[in-house]
Amino acid sequence: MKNKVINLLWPLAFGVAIILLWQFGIFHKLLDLKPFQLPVPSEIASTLAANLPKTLHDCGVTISGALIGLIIGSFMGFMIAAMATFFPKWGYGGMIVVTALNAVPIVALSPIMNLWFSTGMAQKIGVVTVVCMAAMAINAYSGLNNLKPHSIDLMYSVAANKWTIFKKLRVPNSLPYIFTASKINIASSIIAAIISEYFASSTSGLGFGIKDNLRKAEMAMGWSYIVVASLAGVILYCIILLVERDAIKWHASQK
Amino acid sequence: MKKSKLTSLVAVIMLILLAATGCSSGNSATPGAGTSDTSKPASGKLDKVTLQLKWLPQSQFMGYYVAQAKGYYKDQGIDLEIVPGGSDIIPEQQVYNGVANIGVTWVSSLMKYQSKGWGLVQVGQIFQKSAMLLVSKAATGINSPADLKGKKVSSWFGGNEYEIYALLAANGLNKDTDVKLVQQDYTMNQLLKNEVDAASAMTYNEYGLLLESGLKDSDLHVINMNDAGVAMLEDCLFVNSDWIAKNQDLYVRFLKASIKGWADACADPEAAGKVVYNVDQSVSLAHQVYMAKEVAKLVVPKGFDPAKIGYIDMAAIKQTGDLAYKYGLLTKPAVISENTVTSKYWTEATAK
Amino acid sequence: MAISKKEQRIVAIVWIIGIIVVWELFAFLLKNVIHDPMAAMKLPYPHTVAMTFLENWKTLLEAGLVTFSRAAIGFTLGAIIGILLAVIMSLSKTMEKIAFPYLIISQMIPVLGLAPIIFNIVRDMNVSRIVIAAYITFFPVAVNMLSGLKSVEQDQKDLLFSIAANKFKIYQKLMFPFAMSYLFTGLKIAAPMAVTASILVDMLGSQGGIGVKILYSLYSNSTNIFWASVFTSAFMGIISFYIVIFAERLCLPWQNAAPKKDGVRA
Repeated sequence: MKNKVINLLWPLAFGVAIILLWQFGIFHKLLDLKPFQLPVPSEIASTLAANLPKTLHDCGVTISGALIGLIIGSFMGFMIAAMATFFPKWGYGGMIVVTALNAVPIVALSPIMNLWFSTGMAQKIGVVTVVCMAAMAINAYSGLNNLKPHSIDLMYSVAANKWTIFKKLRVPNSLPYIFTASKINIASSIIAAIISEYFASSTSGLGFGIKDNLRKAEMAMGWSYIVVASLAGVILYCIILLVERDAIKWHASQK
Repeated sequence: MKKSKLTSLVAVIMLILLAATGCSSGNSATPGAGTSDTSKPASGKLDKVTLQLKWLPQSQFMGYYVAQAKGYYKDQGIDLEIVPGGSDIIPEQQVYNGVANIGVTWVSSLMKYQSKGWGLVQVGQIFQKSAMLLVSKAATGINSPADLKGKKVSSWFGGNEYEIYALLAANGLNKDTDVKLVQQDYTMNQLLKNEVDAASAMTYNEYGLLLESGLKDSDLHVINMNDAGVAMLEDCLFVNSDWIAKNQDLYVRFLKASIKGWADACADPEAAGKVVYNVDQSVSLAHQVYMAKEVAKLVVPKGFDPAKIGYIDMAAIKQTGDLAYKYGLLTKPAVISENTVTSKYWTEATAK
Repeated sequence: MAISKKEQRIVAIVWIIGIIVVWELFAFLLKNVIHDPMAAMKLPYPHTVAMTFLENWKTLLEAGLVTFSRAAIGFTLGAIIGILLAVIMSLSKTMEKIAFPYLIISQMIPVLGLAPIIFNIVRDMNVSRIVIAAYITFFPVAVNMLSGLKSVEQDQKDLLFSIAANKFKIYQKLMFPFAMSYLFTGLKIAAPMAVTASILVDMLGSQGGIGVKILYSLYSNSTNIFWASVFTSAFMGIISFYIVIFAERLCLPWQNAAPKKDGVRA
């Protein structure tokens, strides 16, 4: 219990220190910034408080799109990795295709998705799905294949078939990798959703708020959107962490 | 065995890093931002100046490219670097940071930054007219601004929506309840796909794209902001107040060369389009020439004396400021003074 | 059972032809059966894209090289930062607890908000671009490397401790080799991401590069160039991926990396 409190205290203390340095202009002095370039925390906080309902609504729009895309993308990524594992000769091509997709920038993906889907939400989910696929596919593939030496031989010695090996050996082995991918994807799904909203045919969402306000020199408003996005990212990350702790208790990383 | 592999990996990484840093430091020496205090041209050494465009290299900025190509800047002792804009670049910030010395932006946007405390000053006005249109397909039946009621209208937002707000308000429409405003991406696809009823378009670019996509003038209905009396000024030149205090002469020389370039470009847009096309060939020559011709109409409108290119029309500036304040871009009336917009340098540059 | 070189080549060719045929088919359906007026933009014919590519190969290659070399620099820098961060976080649990949430936060700041601040600090276009590319790339490397370092079994560490190995030795002999598979997985994700990052950075006022082509062609409705540029970026992603695989094989020959070895005995 005491450990848990300390675990929480450290990052919080660090955050408080940063906010204080930022609030009292130390950062601004060090980096030669003016408050109208990078607003101070109190200004961001008061702007956020004044616009809370709208900001939360926009946050809901973005995060729900990001999460749906994250789930679809992760699932597809895992399936591609599983295919590549089951059919090493033919399936690996799927991994290459996913990698190729990963190099298509969101700026190009968004307008394409705009054409395929007419609503802002569907476009966003499409973009996030593509972005999340690769990290999951590549990590899951490593997890399904980088097995402990001799473990496969052991499975064969008890006459296990491909499917049993997959279920009993490969999938458990891949879990730490899958959680690693999820942590990366939490970050990339939100930022992908945000950038896709720069181009979406709607006027809601964190991305629209960030772009619109930063361009219009409404820095405090723009940064309060960024703060909300960051908080949402950290909360989602903590959720993944908790699930990870329960799901792979046996793994060295959890001890 | 393992160890040697690891060491070799480290070695490779180090090597790449070394090459990378070597590369980057080599690059950084050349362009960068011209430092504030520059020497006089008489010494034969050119003064470095960086111009930040609002958008990609295209005929919208043909005057600078023509002046560059014809060596007008060199004649003034200036080594000009033209930095294109992009979706993540805000000219006001680049100029304030000192990454660029001179910037091109829209007047309303500049006013907003000035009102927030950014020490920027407008020092030239290239476009004398607003190029903003609201375009709809003829079949939609939007014959006048009042017909926008109940329609879906798209804008780029980020400061580009205020002429539309003004247009709606001037015609008794409420922007929140009478129309549905949506964001427009960089293409005209939403209008082509009939997902919106009316879309924003610049005369010199998006309208041309619609024509290129096979639509004819007769297929399109156009609301022109100038005709509707809600025009706001667009492309202007601005600088950092601190920079201009030390570089007045340098800026005047820049302006002289630029005006000469713009005059040439507007006299022969065909050739100007070609000059721009040679800088970046991503867009067809035909489109650059179309754009050049349309831009020429904004820089030297009918009845405008080409010798006055760059002239700051204070009445138009005031209208821009008033509209920006009335429709919510500015929270307080625009301050129009010598510190925010000045014709001083233009007068000096055009003096015979 | 290893798949022979010849078989590998056949598989690759079948994949490529397969994708092209399916794509052609869908493009045909979209254009001629569904009669979508936006077909050329939604899903162009691969042969049209190929033709555009051949017509413009010189400018595309030039732009690609600009982008790719910047991606390589950003990737290298990002990878080094990622590895360093991971090592620091693995050394101390407290460090990890402090740093990780902030690393997530760092990834939530879009370039539009970040770029002006970086420009303000660095005040140089080219250096800023590299910093931003590295900033986008470091995250997956750090996350994967950290997972790898943390996956080492405690008893193995204890064993080395018991023979009086110091921290440095433990890292050198046990932790790093163990974390390599995670690291390379991270690098494989980061490599195509570095291409994306570099494309994004192209749009920060760069003169050349695929990013400029993409933005420009999009803006001017040059559908063919747009798709050719998108294909070029995808292609660069594949190349960067293979470079990492190649490096992995060089460094970890014992790993059943990529499709070289069949994990399952038939």
